[in-house]
Amino acid sequence: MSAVTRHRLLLLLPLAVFLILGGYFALGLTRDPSILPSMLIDKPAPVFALPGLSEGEKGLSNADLTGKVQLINVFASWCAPCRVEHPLLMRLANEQGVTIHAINYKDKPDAAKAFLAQMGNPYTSIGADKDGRVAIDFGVYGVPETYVIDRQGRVRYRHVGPLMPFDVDEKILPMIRELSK
Amino acid sequence: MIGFWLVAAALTALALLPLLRTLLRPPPPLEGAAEFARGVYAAQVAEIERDLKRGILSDDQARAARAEVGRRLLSVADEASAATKASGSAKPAQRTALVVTLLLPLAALGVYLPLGQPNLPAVPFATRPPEAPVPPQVMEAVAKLEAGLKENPDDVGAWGLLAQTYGAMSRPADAVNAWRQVLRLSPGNGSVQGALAEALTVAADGVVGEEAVRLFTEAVAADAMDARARYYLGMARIQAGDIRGALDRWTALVADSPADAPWLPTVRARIHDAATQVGLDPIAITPSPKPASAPPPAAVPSGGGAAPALSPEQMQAMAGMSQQDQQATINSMVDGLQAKLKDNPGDADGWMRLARAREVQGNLDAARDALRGAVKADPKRLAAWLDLSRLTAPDDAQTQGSPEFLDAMAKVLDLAPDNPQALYYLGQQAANEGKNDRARDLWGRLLKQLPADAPQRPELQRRMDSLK
Repeated sequence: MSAVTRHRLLLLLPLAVFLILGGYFALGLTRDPSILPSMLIDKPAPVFALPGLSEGEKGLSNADLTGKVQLINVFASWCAPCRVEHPLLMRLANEQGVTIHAINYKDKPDAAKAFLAQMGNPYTSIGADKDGRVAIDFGVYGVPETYVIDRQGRVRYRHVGPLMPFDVDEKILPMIRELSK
Repeated sequence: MIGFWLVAAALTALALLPLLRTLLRPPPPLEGAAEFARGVYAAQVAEIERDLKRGILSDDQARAARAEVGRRLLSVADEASAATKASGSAKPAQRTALVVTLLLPLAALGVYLPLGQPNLPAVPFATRPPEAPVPPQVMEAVAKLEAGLKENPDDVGAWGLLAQTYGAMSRPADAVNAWRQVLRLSPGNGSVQGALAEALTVAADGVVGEEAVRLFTEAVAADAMDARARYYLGMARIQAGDIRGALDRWTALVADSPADAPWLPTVRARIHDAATQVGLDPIAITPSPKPASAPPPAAVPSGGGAAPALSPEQMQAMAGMSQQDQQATINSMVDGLQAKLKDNPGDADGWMRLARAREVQGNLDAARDALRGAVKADPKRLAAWLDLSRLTAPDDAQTQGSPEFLDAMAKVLDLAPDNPQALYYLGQQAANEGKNDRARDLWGRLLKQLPADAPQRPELQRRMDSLK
């Protein structure tokens, strides 16, 4: 290959770079960015043991997660969407009899207690995850997040962001019913 | 500070370095072009020799070509030597280098000194609108209230005032605390419970939390007609995802409210939103409110007052009576009016007064009778027909209504061609009787009057479309 043709090919390089990048971007456009896959789906929940909100109070560990279908809700008193979904959790716990555990994410225990006093406490047990370590193991993107745990303690479904009525009616409740069979 | 200037100076020097290197380097000799031309001509001479050997060129032709190449070669050599002479005078650009060395740091200083100040004002892309300033008198009053409450923390009136002020100042957390104090001092007070619960809801960005639900429930237990509490309890059900539960609460609230209640439009709009979410017909599920507690002033006929008029003496006498006695006096006056009208049935004003009095007494049958008398006496009296249609209206907007009601509506439409109720019900009657054109015409006229965001609009439009 002569020096001149090599030169010509070099001129094509920007075009080639553009096509490759464009291809990647086009591929990215076809994907739904709101789908956040979890590494944990169908795998056992990570091993953890969290203390309760105040000393001597029962916390939450993965030993609590077997035996029946239940939810884990990651919440914090400083999180505004958590307030929005809270009445839904109250209904799930009080009217539908769903067991909900909580991971209190990077929160002050007093603030969390005040939050629960005002908004109600739908949780069977609460683990205080002050430094967010356990949340990292769960792969939490941001609060609130909700996980459906089956009887064997495996993570079956993960919901990112506040629960909405149709999430509960069309996804969470049917799933709990299905898994409880 | 001195460290910063040293670093800045070093960086400036670093930036100058490549500039000075280029400017101070002697320019390269310009021999390249002449060298190249010489090569080309040598190749041409060689080609001529080759062609001569192969016999393509004759000796003469070859000699002429060689001479031509030689001439060109000479002219190129001349140009090259001239260029070398010219470039010989081109010295390194020392003067430019000096100017650049001086100007660049100066320019940098000139830009930095005005801009590099920590106390420059911010240049935001958009500014947040300043919060509505609280008038100093209000701040003073709040400070006074707070100071007074420190000394006398059981002053329930001051707490209430403070709570309302905090609420108006958009300080929901403080309002919550103040209402808690009010409730502590007047436990079990339904309206205080409602106020505290509302403040809690505002503080939680509109989410009705468990404590607020409990307080609202207690407020409703204290006063079943606490519209605020009942409205928020419906909100709580919506937020819990129980839309039907919310609809039940809100429709019950509408059914219990007088037609002129200020909260009705809000509640109706909520019902509309919620019902469309679950695919229900908002018009069908929204009940009619109770009759207006006070007739709107426009409906009062010009001729007469709302009830049998009392003379000042009578008023004074009434004021001194017990409630029972007052009632008895009113009843006897109303009965007297009815007896008078029997003798003079053409007194339409009288009939209207009687109808209103009967309605206030709660005797709706008698009120309807009086209105029938009024329209008989004066068939052109719109107010009478309107009242008659109101008192004979079906409970539910979906049912067609009695013949008397529809007749009254038809009269109303004759006298007031734009009356929305008449347009609606007569359109419904026409639709039920299969007169689709008439129904479309009436409902079309109704649609034209409805504001663009009226909650009933989509429903009406749907029903009109289904007529085709």
